[in-house]
Amino acid sequence: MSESARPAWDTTAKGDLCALLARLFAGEPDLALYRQLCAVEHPTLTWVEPALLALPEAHAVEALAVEYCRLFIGPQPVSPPYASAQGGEVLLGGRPRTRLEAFLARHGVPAPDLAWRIASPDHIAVELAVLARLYAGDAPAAVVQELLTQHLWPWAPAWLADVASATRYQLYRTAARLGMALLGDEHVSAEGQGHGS
Amino acid sequence: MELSRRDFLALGAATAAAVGGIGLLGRFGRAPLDHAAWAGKTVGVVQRIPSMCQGCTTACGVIATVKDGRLISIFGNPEDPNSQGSVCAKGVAGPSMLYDPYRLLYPLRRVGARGEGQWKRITWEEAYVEMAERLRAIRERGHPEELAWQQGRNRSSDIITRFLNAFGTPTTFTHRALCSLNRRAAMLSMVGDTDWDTGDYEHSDYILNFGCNWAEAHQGHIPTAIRIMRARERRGAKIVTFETRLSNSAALSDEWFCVKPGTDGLIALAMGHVICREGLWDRPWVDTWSNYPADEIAAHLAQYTPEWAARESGVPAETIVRIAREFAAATPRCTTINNRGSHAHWNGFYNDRAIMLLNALVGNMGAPGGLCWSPFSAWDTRRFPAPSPVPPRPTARSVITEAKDWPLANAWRGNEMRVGTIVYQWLKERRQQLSFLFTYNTDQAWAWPEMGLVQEVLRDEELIPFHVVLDVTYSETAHLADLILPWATWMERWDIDSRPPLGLVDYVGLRQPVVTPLGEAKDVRDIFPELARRIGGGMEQYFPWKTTEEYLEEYFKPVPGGLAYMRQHGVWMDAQKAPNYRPYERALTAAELDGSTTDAATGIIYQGEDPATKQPRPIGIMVQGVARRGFSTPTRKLEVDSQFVKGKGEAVGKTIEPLPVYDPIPDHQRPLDVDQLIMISFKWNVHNAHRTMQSKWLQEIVHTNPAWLNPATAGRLGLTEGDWVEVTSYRPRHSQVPYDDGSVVGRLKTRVHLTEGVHPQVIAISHNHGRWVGGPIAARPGVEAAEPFPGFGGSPAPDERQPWWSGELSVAQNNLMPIYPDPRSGQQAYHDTIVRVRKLPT
Repeated sequence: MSESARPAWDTTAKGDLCALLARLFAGEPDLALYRQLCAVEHPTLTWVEPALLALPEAHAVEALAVEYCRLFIGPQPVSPPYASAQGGEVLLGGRPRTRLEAFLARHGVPAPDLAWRIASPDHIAVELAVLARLYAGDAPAAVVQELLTQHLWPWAPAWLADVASATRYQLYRTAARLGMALLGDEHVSAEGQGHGS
Repeated sequence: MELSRRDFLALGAATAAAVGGIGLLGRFGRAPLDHAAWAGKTVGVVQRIPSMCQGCTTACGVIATVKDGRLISIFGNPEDPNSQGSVCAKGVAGPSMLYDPYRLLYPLRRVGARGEGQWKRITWEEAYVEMAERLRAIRERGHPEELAWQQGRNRSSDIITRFLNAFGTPTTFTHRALCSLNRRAAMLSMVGDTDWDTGDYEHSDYILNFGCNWAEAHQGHIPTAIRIMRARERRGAKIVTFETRLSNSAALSDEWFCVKPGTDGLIALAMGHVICREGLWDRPWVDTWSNYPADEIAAHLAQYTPEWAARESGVPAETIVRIAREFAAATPRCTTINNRGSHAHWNGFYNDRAIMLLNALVGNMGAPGGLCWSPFSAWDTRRFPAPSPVPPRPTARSVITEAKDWPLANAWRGNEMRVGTIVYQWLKERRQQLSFLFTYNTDQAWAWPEMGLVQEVLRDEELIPFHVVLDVTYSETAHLADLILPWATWMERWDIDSRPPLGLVDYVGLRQPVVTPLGEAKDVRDIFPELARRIGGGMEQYFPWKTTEEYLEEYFKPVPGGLAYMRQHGVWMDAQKAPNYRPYERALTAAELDGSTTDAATGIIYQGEDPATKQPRPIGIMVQGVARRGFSTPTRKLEVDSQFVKGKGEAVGKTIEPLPVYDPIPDHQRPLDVDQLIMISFKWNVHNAHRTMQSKWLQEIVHTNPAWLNPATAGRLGLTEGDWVEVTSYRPRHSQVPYDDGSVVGRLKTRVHLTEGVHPQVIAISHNHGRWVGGPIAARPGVEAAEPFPGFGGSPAPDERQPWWSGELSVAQNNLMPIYPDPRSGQQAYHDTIVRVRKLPT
């Protein structure tokens, strides 16, 4: 890839990516989002596989809704997208929820306004939305580091790896890999600056 | 071309920018409840909100501690007159069910074939539209009976009955026949006032227990247990238990006698024989209040010798004699208590009538410390009538609900109990057409006898064209649904509720949400009014209230302070009411006698007309020249001789003995081979059907169910502790059950636990296990419906979400249970199945 073709990777880009991932994990893709993802063409970044593209749009969207349900909603979700559930806590929310709310309060970060059907704030989509907001608002690096260190790194990379492995569809595989790459990249950056845990 | 991570990320971000419109509006979750408007007490930053548990049917009053909209803990409400501040582990574990990460939180619609397990999340609007369209069509076709309601536990009967009656369907399937039908039928047949006796244990000196696990699994176990223990501590009361297994209740007794299943009634009759023979009875009471003279009772009991009872039950004759004498000597402060150990048998109706007769013989009925009852199994419906308008009872008929083959199942108006056991067999036989099945708070595909048959029927879209399940957690039954609706837990919803009062004064309670429902969970109190409005056709007139609070404001008007008082305290009891001692002796007042007539032959006093039967309404009986209330039976006496049940049997060509008798279980009369045993079932105190299986806190206490065997039995079979066995069960072989060919029902592999605490002819397995869906706590890896595979050892795929006991034995006993109803009443026999046990190679 040439320098001129390489997209920028700055805080704006980070924020955009976090917001996209938050949206993808927050709820089933609707027709509009599906079409927009289908329109993305790049030889090495695929969102929708040919088999799905071959289906009528309504069927493809339903297939992704079923997959979203299977992975994240249930019954018996494969990978409940909550920090508390991934940590083996008995109670949904639990300590991760309390800690996240304290983090938001301490740093004056408003809770994300989400129209999504999420049962507890320790949902991956919420944490990614918070991260997106921090990037978009040029939050101090220490605040970003705290969110990563205390709230995302402890569980999200393993969860994303689970999703990448368990999913039957490229959309969630790509989203998971992007998430892992983002968190991994931030981790490397942090270590380079002496912040990583 | 290989991308660097940064390039990969940048491309991803570019996608995000291209997609755009990620703008997110609104707030996640729902607005928290308005704490300022709440009742309850605020202590610091914590609110204490009274409510009622529904971990089981006991419905203890509880206090929920809530902080910032989050439930912290549950403890007992000391104002509850029944539980008096006590609560068991199931209630305390409430938060583990409320916040279970795997509970159902959104409506789900099936995708693909029923039972494939593919779902998509839909909105409540979509769910309502589909349900209303289907239900309206059924109603407009003029066959409302095609809507079937299958319930397990139901503490919201007011709103559910309202909806079903407004719809016009009589097709209600309950679990009563799998639970306590015989006990209730025995009480109704003899006393009539109510279907549930509540001994005055607290004031008793002698408590004679036939098969009741009051410490763990009795309906009303907490109120009962605290009073029995209080009687022991304060009065030195003696507790004697006849039980096939050393339950925790038996272990708390002064004496435990291990009995052969199904022989409790014979022991009771033999005790009655002793009491009569030795003149230990309260003869004046019997001759005054029994509808069968004392001498004739004695003549009838002459055949039931202690020696016969000893041969059948295994309890020594001299013990039976001694216990009978002790019981009689303690009168009137003595009482029996009985439950599934005596009545969940093929002959259970007769067993429980025999046990009740003991109380009549010694004259303790209704006495302080004796066998007592309240006229109310719940709240006083005369004082707290259902808010108007009330829909009329359906006129349509349901063959399956009526279940006429079992004449006592629906014999008592207002106490129709149904025969839940045979529903799915009869559906398979196409005895009634259904268009819509609504399953509520039950898991019949796992919990019912012949569960394979139930699954087969639920899977069949011709037999069950549309199936909706409302539940808190995923279940084997929900797996076979078309629409799954997320139900609010008892911590998130409203009810008016009350239970038989152990203090013999009725009360009324409030269940109120202590937190906002999680996710999109709803209760029937939200769903039914909305559905009624959408179905229309006049249904909506029966749901005029805008909110549940508005409806409950009206319901609780008779309480001084109304709903506001209830929200503060959780319960209310009329302090002016006296305990319901000896209600039959109460002299009728002049006002009550105004306009009455007395039948000179029977002494029965009538006034006016019963609006339901259009017959003269009996209100009392002349006893020694005084007009007294009497019993709510046809003769207004305690019906030792029940011509009512006899007549019900004759109407369908069945013989039902009117006197208490012993009818031996036919399969138990044949000699058993060395490898043949009688299989019984039992319940653990921390579990309640499928509802508690996903609670990590409760499963941590009890998470395995090996088969209990007596060491002597094990020795004969060459078994040692922990050995693997195969248990094969068989259908009964006698003509009085519907499916009686003696064929194999099922097989399971399990391990044995050796204990002296079980009868040598018995294998005892708890039915609280063997789930294959529900979440990582409820279900074991590898447990399948067709071939339950009990795991052993460590989990094959280490997973932090799996608990430390993952891999421990968990088998589905219900898979072995045949359909086995008491021919008189339809009560499922849970403790009578003949099985063969075979050691498996390790």
